[in-house]
Amino acid sequence: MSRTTPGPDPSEAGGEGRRPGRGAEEPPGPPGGGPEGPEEGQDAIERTLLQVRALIESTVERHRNRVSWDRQIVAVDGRREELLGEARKLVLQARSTIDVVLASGPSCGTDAKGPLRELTYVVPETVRLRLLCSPAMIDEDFVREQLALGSPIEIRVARVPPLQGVIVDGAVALVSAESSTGRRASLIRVPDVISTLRTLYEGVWRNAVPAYARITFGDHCRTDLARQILGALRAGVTDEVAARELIVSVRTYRRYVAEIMTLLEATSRFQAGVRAAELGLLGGMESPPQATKPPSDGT
Amino acid sequence: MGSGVTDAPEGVCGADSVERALLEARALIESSVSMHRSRPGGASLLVRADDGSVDRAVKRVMAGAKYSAHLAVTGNWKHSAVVIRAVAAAVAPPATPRRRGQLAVRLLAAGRALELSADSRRHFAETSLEVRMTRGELREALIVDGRTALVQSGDGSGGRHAAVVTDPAAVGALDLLFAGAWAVARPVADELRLDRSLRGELARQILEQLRAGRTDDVAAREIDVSLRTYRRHVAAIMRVLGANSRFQAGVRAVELGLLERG
Repeated sequence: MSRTTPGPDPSEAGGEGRRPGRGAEEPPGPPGGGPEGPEEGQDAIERTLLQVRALIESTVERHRNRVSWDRQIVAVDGRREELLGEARKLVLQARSTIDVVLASGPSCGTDAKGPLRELTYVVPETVRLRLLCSPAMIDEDFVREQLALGSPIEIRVARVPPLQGVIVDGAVALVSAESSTGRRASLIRVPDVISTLRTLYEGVWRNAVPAYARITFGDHCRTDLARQILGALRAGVTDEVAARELIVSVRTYRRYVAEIMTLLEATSRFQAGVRAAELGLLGGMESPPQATKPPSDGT
Repeated sequence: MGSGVTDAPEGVCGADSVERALLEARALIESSVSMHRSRPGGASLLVRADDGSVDRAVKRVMAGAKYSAHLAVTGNWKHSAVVIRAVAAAVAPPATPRRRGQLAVRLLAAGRALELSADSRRHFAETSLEVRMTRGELREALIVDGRTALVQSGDGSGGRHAAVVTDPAAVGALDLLFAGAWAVARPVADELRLDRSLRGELARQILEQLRAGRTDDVAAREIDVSLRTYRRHVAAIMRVLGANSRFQAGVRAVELGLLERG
């Protein structure tokens, strides 16, 4: 910026060799090869003016690039209503995929579940909707409701740090995260940032636990006993030891194990271990998501 | 157009029209400069580091690193080596001791188990470095202190470009998802151990049989070994997995990512 030409100095108007300040850095073309016109008939001033024009044009171009680049990440109002409004707009324009991550944090409690539920109903069936939840954000009623539908959305549970976001068509993302300076939200359209977000999302998704099987299992099982048996199996103790701990006969214990294996659709204990781990029925998610919920319904 | 000429120097009132026009142009440029300088934000939230130098971008992003550097690299060895080297150089012990407080470096790698060069290891000596592996794809990304991020541009096959992001929410989202992926990734030491013992063809076949829920008889016949041999192999696998029962072995196999999800 400090390189703008010094004062006008009219005395030099007819002189030779006046160069634009940055001529050396960005020659607008071969010498004399201005945008148009033959070389003859152009004196030094005209050449210089043409160079100045070329410089201005390239600067305009640069400026435009910068402005459009800046618009690719826009901070948005972080308040609940505004965010939901933005999310709704995005969801409505989705064509192929919607990837949602919903993890509760200090400023986004479980009360966000309701509005989210509404949002899922405006999504057309042709759009693949994935919902990645932290354990606290899983709403069992919502999951059951989805199960009852013909084509439920995909829901998985993982321990995710406090982050809420939606990525639409792998092209636009609305994210809201806690930062050192409070809650921040942004609308992102930078392809590189979106791709990176998506690969990380995939990484978490791949290892996350499908929500449906877990809840179906819970609905069909005397959960307390099942959890104890799964715990024993997980610990790798022998049937005899496990039976003694649960104060049942070995025979009864084995019958329980067989029941659990049936529920898991497993034909061997190894397979049962695989299924139980994949469904997140063991450790890692110790507390059932809604343990504290008052018994409000008949399920 | 003429609004900017008021500051034209006196004494040029006799100037001709060309000169007047040039002076006006100069004034306009000057006002553009000041408008540009006062653009909101000043520093852009997003800077393209496409000067061809990822090194320089890494150095810049790492310059202010105080607490953490989270680095994701792809399975493309040549690429990751460049980025890791750049980060290593940026954290290399300086001649004068840095202020107290250790930088926590987390390196998440996709694909095969990552082995750092001796040079890099030395450079990372003063940081607390952890390396984990994840299955599936990653893109190169570097997130520093949860405040600045450098992400790979393009598909990575062409030139090496990167974009620097400082938007708080965007960086926050990257960092939190990184943490999510990190939590389910496995320490590289485990991965190396498994590589040696459980990724062989036979071990893979046996795990497949177990996973399918076959009885030992059927499985042994299937892979053409005696029942005795089959059970011996299963016992060996269970030892590597640290499992006392078949159920536990199944759980461990999932936890260690030995089985593709069905």
